[in-house]
Amino acid sequence: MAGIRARAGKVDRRVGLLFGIFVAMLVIALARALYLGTVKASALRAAAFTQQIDVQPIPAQRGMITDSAGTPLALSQATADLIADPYLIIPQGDGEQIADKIAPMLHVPRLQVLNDLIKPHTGYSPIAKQLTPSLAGSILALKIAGKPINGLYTEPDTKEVYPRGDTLAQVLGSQNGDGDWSGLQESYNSVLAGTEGERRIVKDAKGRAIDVQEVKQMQPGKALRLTVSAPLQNEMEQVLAGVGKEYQPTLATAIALDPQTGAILGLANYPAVNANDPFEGTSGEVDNAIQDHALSFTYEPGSTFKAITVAGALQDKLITPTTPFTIPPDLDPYGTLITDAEAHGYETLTTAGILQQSSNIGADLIGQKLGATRFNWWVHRFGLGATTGISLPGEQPGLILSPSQYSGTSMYTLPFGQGESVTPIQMATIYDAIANGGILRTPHIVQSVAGKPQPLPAGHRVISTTTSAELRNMLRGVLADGGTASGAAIPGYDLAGKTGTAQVVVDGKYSKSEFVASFMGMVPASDPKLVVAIVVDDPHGNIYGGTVAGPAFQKIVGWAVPYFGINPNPAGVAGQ
Amino acid sequence: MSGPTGGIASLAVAGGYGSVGLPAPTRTRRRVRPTAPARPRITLPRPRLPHVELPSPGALAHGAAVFVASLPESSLLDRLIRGRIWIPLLGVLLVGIVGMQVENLKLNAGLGTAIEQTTNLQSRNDWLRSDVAQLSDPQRIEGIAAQHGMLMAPPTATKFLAPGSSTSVRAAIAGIRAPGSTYFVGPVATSSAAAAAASPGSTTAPATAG
Repeated sequence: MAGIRARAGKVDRRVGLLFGIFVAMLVIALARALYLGTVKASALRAAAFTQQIDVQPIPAQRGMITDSAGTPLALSQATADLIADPYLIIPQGDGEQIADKIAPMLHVPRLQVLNDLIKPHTGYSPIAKQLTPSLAGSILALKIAGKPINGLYTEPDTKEVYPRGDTLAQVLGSQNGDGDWSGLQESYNSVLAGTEGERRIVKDAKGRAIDVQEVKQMQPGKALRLTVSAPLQNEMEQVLAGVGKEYQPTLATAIALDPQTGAILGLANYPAVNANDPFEGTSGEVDNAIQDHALSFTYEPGSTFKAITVAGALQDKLITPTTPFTIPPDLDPYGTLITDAEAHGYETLTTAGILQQSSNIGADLIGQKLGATRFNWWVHRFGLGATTGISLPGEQPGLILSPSQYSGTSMYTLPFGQGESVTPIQMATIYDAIANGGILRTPHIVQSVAGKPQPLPAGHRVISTTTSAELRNMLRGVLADGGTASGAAIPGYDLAGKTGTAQVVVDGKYSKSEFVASFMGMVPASDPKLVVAIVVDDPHGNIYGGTVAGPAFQKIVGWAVPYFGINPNPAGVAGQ
Repeated sequence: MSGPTGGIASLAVAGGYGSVGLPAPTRTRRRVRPTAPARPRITLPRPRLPHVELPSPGALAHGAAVFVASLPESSLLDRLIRGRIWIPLLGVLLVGIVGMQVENLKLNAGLGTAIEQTTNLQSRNDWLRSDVAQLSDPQRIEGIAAQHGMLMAPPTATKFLAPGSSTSVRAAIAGIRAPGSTYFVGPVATSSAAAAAASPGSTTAPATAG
């Protein structure tokens, strides 16, 4: 009996011991759970978040910029940034092997890659930026000793790409090293940029996504459709490249406008720049090449300005196209000698003849008929001294003197375009008004934003349709035999235009070797459908607007008229 | 609900089953609650209404309330709750829940892959769009054309023909030749010669001819 009791007691003790062990283990487990759940909670939560949850930014896709036909001129492409986590790579000790494999793929020195891979005291070390998705994928798929690389990952990014390289590069603009945009990219940045999104990805132990949530929806930027025609733009750029090759100017610009709407059909600049790599070259070259000279270059317009003087006098009914003027060989106001480009004796020229032969003295005589006050009124009436309001950054207003600032010789130089500063876009806009029947419109380059057409600038009348028609008729003579741009005529085309050969002020004096050659023209003169302005700064070998800029106008118009299906002579004007 | 509470209540109040020697009722679990004294029922004369097939909404609600009130006493419900069918049913439901979770995870994984694929395809689309824009660059095409001996005619070498009689239109149409499949493949000199030979109806003409 005692034995049985003893055995029973022994069993009880064993059961009790087991129970005690289980209780102790339970207490330990509870204590551990308590420790992990309280003391280590935040660190473990962070670790779990890092390992299992990946919060990725979704870069906003920038809005595409296309020409009027929808050809992409600037578009956003998805790229990937390659990032290393040295905290993972250093302990594995395979940094050198990784560097050996990826350095040739990235075309960067091995040492540079290795330094980034094993950068101390960081878990985030960018290796390369804006890789193509395929290249990034190839790098992530690499294996070291048969195992995938642990410690390399990619972050999504975007890159602005200009498929046509230098086409419209200065107008489109680009991003500098500080991330600032220029050109259209700057003025329409709020529309083009879009809004970055955020994606939360929960991964399993093998890194496979098991839950994907769009925490914040990415809003892509809106597309811009320009009024520019890429083929015409290309032709204009080629023509300017030809001018650059032949005359080595400092800069040149060409603008093509639709006079009916003020739409910019082409805007080319010389020297050219590759929008994909605009900062290649010396700082001086880059500064010149990235400028949109059509808006930023201020120059004394020279004889192309005479059309404004004549337009004002015609509109004020002080002259008619046939009003005769006796032109002396020179003028000598206050000791300043004013002559025409070609020496002549006393001669009689009509208003049309003054424009055709580009007589400085004749323009002065017309200016004197207007008087300083009225002349100044017309200068401002044509929008000079203020920006045109085009939706592009960097536009200069030019420099126009007020009558109170006029010297004794001002009214002897201003009427033929010396003494005031203008920009090419201002002059193109004025000739646009002459072409469209007298309405001065703000030129525009954006046709639609996200498919929504932009309202056309209303414009305001500056001269009557009669005056503009008379002016165009007189400007025909410039391209006719005896005109200053007769060499720019195209058989069968009804062309009108005006040459300009302006002296440039150097060290306070008009240079005898530096000039700005320009040509402003339109086709067909009877009912213009295209206005083209060419400005060439400091050409070498030839200086005249008729011989430097005129042929460029001829080439552009000769290409554009058949391309756009413009009837070059609907009125059947004889002699063209 | 305050209607006839039944005789059982009055029996219970009277002193229990044993004391009166009545046989025990079969539904012993039924609880009997004291009820309020029955209110005097006032019977109002019902208005004579036309015969309607459907019960009124009030009657439906009343019926539903009676049904709900009688549920605790329902033997069918009792059997259902106590029945063994719940064991496999719950088992199946649990398996179903687990299965749904697994499917959900699979779907999410598939979603992740699909999003990744979409991003890749969009990216590829952008790159291809860029390629198309590059390849359609007129400057590039003109360069290739120049290699084959083709050049853009200068503006002064082109002229517009005045529309004449139908004969000139017919002559122009007759002059159009479709280029052969090997037209642009041959050597430059051949192509140039072919271009010259195949363009009798062209609207371009040399400067001297214009």
